[in-house]
Amino acid sequence: MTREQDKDSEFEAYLQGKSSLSDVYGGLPQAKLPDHLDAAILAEAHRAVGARPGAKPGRSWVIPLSMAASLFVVVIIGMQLRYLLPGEVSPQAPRSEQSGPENQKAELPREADKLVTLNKGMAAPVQAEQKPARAPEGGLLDMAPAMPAPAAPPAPKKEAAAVQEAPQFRVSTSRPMAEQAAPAAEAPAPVVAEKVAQEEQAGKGAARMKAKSASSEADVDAYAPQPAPVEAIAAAPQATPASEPQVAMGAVSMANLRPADWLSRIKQLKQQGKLDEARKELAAFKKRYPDYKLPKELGNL
Amino acid sequence: MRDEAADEQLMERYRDGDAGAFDVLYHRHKGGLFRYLLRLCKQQNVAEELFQDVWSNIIRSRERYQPSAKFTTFLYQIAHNRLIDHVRRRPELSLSLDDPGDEDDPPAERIAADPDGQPEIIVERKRLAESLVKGIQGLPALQREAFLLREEAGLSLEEIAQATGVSPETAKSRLRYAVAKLRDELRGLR
Repeated sequence: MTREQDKDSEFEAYLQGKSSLSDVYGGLPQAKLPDHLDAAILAEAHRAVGARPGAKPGRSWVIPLSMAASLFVVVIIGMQLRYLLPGEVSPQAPRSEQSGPENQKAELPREADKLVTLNKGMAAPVQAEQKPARAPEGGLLDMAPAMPAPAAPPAPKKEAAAVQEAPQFRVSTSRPMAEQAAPAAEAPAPVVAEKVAQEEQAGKGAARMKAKSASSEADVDAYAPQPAPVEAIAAAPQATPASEPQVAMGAVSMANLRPADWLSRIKQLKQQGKLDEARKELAAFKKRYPDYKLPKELGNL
Repeated sequence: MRDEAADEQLMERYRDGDAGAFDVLYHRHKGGLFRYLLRLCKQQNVAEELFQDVWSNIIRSRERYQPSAKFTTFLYQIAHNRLIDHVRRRPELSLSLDDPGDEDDPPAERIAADPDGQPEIIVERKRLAESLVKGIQGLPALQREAFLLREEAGLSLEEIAQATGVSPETAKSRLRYAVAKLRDELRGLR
């Protein structure tokens, strides 16, 4: 019984770390672990988490972050070059001379492009042909005159509203979608503002206009902004100060054309008997393209 | 390399991708684990194979690691299970404790070669070491394992029970018998 008690007390002392047994065991020689085993296990551990042995922890975000930053810079530069390089948009421009005047219209909003693309019932080739150039040959600086005139401040909102309502117009009409969406988007601000003013006078709200446009094709035509003629765009008095000469406005708008289209337009003016206007256009053309070889028909103008 | 963080924190950091945390954890536990395996399976090459398997298991299971238990318990539980599996696959092996270095370089001889010790102390250490090694060799495998878990891993009775899959009473009984036998072995020298 005393022996059992001694064993118990020894065991309690051992558990409390007061036994010499642990000291003797701790004095035994330490088994040596092979170095290659250390290296193999550590390499496996580092591979498992995608790190190199010896690499500092917490740097795993550096490479993905730098790649993301590089990609962001490339995208930004690409977007800038898209607008700065003139050759990028030239393939989209209509090639026939007859379609040249159509290019004088303002840029079709991208929302309208998307809507046109989504409409599967419409003829895609027609839409492609009618897609106007995004930018003139002159580059970003020459786009400024072709922008919608800032004369009417609420115009952008109305333009956006017109674009949003474009699908309703299309539902009840058989005209190609591009024909409808483009005028809605490119109508000069004063035209839209005038429509809105008329509508307000008649006491019609926007919701009522929507309902009515859906119910009657005639109403659709009435509410939908009509495509403005090229001449109207070129000579829009609201967009320029009153003191600015008419010729200058025409030159500005025609200057957006390619040289061949511009000359074609001058030929048309000559054939229509508008000789003064044709001469002024020709003079503007020569000023801009002094080295361009003129056709014989325009030589005697 | 020194990192005072707890084992559980290091394992969580490794689980989250910090490979350096594993380095600290490994160097902290590699010695004890290797001695545990070596003194249970008696063969150096087998101990090395099991040692690598245990750490590979830790690496693979890092995603599932939850610090609900002590990391040391988790580590030695894996080692215990791996050892049992190995013995079951190779019945000719038994969980004995023949020190693999005994023939070429007996531990007692290595202790005696300590140049800093006084001759009397060296002789005494040699006798104690030889006696302790002999006593550990004579322990039943399960008692030996309980003793090694206590000495090498510093586990408590409850943790020994958890690592070996037995009740705390069973673990206590095994360890108590082991300590008593070893004490008797050493006492006979004095």
